[in-house]
Amino acid sequence: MADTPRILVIEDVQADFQLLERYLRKQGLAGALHCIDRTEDLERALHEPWDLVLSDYQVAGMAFADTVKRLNAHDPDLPVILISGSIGEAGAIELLALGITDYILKDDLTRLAHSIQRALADRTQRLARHAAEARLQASEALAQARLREIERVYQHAPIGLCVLDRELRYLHINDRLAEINGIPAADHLGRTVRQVVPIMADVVELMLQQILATGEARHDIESVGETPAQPGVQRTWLGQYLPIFDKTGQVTGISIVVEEITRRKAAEDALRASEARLRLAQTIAEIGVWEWEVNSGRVIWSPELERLFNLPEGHFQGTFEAFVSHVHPDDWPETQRQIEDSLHEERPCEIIFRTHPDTRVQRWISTRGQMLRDAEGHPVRLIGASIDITHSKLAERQLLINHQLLLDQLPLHVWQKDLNLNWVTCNAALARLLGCSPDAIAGKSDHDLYPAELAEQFIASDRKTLETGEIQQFEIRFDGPSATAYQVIKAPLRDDMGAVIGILGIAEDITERKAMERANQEFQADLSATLQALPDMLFEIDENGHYIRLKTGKQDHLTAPLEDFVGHTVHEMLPAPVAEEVMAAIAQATVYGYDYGRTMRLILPDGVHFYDYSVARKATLPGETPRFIFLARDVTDRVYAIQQLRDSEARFSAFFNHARDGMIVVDVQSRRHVDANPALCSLFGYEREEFLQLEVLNVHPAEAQARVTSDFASLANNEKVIAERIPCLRKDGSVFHADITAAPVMLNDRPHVVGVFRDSTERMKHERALVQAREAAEAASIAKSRFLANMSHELRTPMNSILGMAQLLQQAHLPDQERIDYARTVLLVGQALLSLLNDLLDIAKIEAGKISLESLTLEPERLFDETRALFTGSAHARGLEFSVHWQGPSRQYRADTNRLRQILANLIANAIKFTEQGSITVRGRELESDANMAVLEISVEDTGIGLSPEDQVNLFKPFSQADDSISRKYGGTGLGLSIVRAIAQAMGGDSGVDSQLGQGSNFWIRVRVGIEHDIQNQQSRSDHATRQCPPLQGHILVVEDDPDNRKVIAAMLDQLNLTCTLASGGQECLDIILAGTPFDLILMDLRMPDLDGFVTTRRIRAWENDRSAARTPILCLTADVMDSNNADRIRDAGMDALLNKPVLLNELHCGLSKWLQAAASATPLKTVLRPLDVERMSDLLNELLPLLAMQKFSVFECFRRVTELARDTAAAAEIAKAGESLKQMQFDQVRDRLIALANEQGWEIAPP
Amino acid sequence: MNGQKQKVLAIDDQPDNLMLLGESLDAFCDLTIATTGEQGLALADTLHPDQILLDVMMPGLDGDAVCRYLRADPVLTQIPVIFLTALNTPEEETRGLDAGAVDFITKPVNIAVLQARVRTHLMLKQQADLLRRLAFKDGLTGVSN
Repeated sequence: MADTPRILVIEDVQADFQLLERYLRKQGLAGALHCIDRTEDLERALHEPWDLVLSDYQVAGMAFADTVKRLNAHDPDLPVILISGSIGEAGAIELLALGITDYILKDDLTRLAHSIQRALADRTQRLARHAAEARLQASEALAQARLREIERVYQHAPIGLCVLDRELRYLHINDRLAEINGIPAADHLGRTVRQVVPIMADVVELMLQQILATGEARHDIESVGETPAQPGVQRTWLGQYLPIFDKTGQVTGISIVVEEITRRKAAEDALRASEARLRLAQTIAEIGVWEWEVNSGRVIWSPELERLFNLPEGHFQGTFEAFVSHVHPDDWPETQRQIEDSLHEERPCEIIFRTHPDTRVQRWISTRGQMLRDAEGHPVRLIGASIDITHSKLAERQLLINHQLLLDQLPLHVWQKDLNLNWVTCNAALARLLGCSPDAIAGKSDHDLYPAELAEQFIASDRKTLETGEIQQFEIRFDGPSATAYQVIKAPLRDDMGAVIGILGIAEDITERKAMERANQEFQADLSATLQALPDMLFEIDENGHYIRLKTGKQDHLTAPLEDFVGHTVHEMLPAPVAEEVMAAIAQATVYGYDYGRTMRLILPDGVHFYDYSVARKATLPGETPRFIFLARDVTDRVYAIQQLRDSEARFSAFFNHARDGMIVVDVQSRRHVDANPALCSLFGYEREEFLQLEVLNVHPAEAQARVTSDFASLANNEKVIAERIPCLRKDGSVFHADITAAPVMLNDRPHVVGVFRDSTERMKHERALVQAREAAEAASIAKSRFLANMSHELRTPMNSILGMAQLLQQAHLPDQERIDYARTVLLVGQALLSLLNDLLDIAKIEAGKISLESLTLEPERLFDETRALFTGSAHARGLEFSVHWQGPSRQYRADTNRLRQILANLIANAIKFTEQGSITVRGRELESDANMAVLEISVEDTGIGLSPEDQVNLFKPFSQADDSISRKYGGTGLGLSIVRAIAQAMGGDSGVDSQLGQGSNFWIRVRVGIEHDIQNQQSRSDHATRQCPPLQGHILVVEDDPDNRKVIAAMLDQLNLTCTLASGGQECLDIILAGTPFDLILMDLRMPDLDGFVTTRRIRAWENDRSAARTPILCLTADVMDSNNADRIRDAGMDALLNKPVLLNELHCGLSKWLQAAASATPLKTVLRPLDVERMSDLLNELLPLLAMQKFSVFECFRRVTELARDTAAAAEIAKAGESLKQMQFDQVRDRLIALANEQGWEIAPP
Repeated sequence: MNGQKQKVLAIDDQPDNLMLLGESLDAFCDLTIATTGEQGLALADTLHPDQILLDVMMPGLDGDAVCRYLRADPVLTQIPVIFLTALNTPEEETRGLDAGAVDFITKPVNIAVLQARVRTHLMLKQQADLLRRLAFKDGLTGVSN
């Protein structure tokens, strides 16, 4: 620190600072003095080093406590002395706790200098201590780092390291060594060598103790063993054991360095083994190695070479002279020459010599040497290898001997003469003949060996051979008691260059051959006689067809006497076709040497005969006219037999080749195809050649092979004919079924099978089709039966109600209310029955394929409104939500609206039927559209019981409801959905369902509809039977032959406040009209006994025309809904519209509303509510509720009283709803409703 | 009759049919109605009716099953069962009688026939009960035999 400290002053009063400055300067303490009075300045000032801070307590904008904190944070060793005029003793003490060094009162600075000095000294000391600490820390860190470094080296050294203390406990050990010991390094520490490696302890401990005792290191201690990590592998280590000394020279422990040398050892062992092998190989191969130092003359021999020369090992003296002494003297000159050559020439020298005769076993040695030269090219050393070739030398000699032996063995006489015609050699056979040894023959002349005459003859032929250089060949004969003949060949003998060097002679004893030739001549004679005896005819004819010779046993087969033939030609003697044939045979035989197989037909006195001709060209001498031997055999009988066979074969062949069934012949043993007809080949898709390469199993698929094999086994036993259907494999890999019939047959004495294949694919198809048709018929029959059973039930059930109720109605004194209920039941059930019949009619139409669609205006929104109105009630009655959404554009289409309504009604009725709780949602939208057409989708989604995938498949088929039990539980004929589908398809669309069992269903239909362009039509049409029609007025004529129907219609018209006149038939109708009675409208039945509706209408129209009277609207009423032609006929007859019978009231109402005027006004009924007798109602309910709980039938009677009581009161509607539930026998719902109503109305009822 | 009407249980899934039965029979018997086979069995257990009118074709437990169940129960087996069915073949009738029904009425029913048969079987039941009582108790003293 500088002598003059750097002091920072915090003071906002300039005068005080000046006072302080002066004081400090006086005290010699202000080296650098800087005053600040703002926090920002403080921050700036802190960038410089300060030794001390003097601060006022109250500085505007700087809280002293914050300042102190900031300073402490900046440098905890920076002393801060407070100089304050205001702070009291207690406050000062507090501030001391905050971290200031001292405090001085402003008005008494006497202590300040002292305080500053003390603070500065204090700070100096503290800084020094910090520096020392820092140095110490740095040094420790360095030491730690070095230690870690060493540790790391220690740990990662590729050699094993460890340190033991005096008790032989491990102090350190690296992983490498730990791995050898087989336990982790950490587990070594503190344990003794004996504990860690007990196996080695006895040996190692002794050595370690010695080291501890003597302080002497032990080096290169080799140890071998296995490690736990690699059991079964022998490893070798080299250990260094070094004592560790302390400063006093005491041994404090042992450091051990272990290096694994397993591989090095292995390599050394391998090298040693390889050297040993080389030596062994040399020994076995008997190769001796030698070296000759040219300058010193020193010769080095390998032990093997010494052995080759039969010297005991080490006995070779090592000089060139010694070498020379071991070589055979005869071979030395050549050997010496070679060695000398090698001194001058580059090529290696090769010498073959024998060992010296003195050696115990004489050998042939082959040696090969290479001269090594120094830089100047002077020869330095000759190095080479020698082998014993004694064996091959001996073999060579043996070969020569064998050659001679061969010659000696020949049954020929072989000899050789030189150019002077002196003998050189001969083989043993000749030597024996000549009576001298082969060795002695050399140098002799013919005169020495043969009688003079013979010798001259031989010499002459020899000379001729030498002169001409050609081979001489002749026979010689020695007559005498043992007459012999020889065939002699003499040939000039030439050297490699082609020069004649002598004569080689070969003589063969042909005595026996001559004898055989004689025997042959005799045989010829015999043959000739034999031929004469043959039944066949034999001719000899020359190439021009001249008969030369004839031989025949039976002359009656000749066309002319035998002797007439010779000298004549075949053309003269034979019919022209036969002659031609003979000449053709001659031509053939001229080329090929023979010709046979021709059959010729001759007509002889006793009939037609056939002859087989065989011709052979006779060997003739050059220049002779070629001649031919003809053998003619009478084969008439055979020809006829063959002819029959051929006919049979032709029949079979035609049969075989043109049969439509495949035929095959198979060899039973080899199972090879022997023959196959074209039909079979095409059946299997093979060419015939290909097919005949195959075996039986090749043409049947794997699954049929066992059967084929067993069939063959039974056929091989010649058992029976097999007929079965079996799968076959075509060439293209496809499989077809064939009906085969196979029978065993013997051909060429081998068992064969003849099989006939008929492709049964078509037949199987037909069989299958038959089966399917039968099954379909059965299924249809079952479905029909089930349907009929259902129908029976469905028809009887409502009939039961109708008839039953009708019976009840007959009872006398029936209360009005009950009679009304019974009648309503009859009506409702009757309507249900009617809708069932309508369904049946629809189905009948569908089955007949006659759905006629009308083109009407479709306003989806209106259709949906109607739907909502129609079904909301019944859905709510079952406690179901019901909503209808048209999501398409608001426009008009053309479609059969009635049919769509029918579809919707079917689907919604189903949904209501099959949904216990939840909701039913009807949606409609336009899927696609163009200018003229659109596709609409209408879906009905419910939360009902849903459908399994299997049920969905059959759902839309007629007569098959998903399950019989469903039809029983929910009723219905199972016709609804098939009607829906049929209609949807007829409208160019389809229907379907998305559903999961228990998850509800979404039934949808898609239909193709036209787009309405005709605005007028849009406005004029209105065919909504269900819409609310205005009250009407008018006078109507009803023409109906059936009195009941007349009554019904009259009642309905009465309901509609319309007056009517009734006519019982067409004639009556005409009478009334023609009488001039005016009507606002006529309702006309179509089928009537006297005049039918058509005729009647036409007459009315005609009458109107005649009178120019106003046209009275005529509506026809008909039950003939099935006959689609009616619509046209009705229009043609002049009727205006059609109403289906039976007609509903509101249908009639709406149907009439188009043609009649609306009533002037209609005043809606106003209901006046009565007050309710609450007490009576409570009593009744208390009576009713237990009956409900017990499901007593008397509940109905009781409920009637409740209804009666509630009539025309505020509770009537709610009671009526409960009544609806009661009719459905839903007792719980009735109870709930009534209890809820009672609670709501405050009626007192007993608790349940 | 001791003034109290005999109890009849009618089991049928068709409300209309039940109505018809009720209107026909309510006058001379105490009629309880059940709309399913299960419900019918439960009511039979608690009610011990003197006769059961049983529809054959019902979803869930059908008439045959209900009848066999009744026959298997030692107490309920005493109750005569009359089958009601829309199937009127002789086979069907035999089957119903085999299942243990005492009588067989085909739909559509003739109400007079229905009433007559029901009445007959109720009378039979009453007499059978009387005999049974006499077999177990002395008619005069009411003491068990």
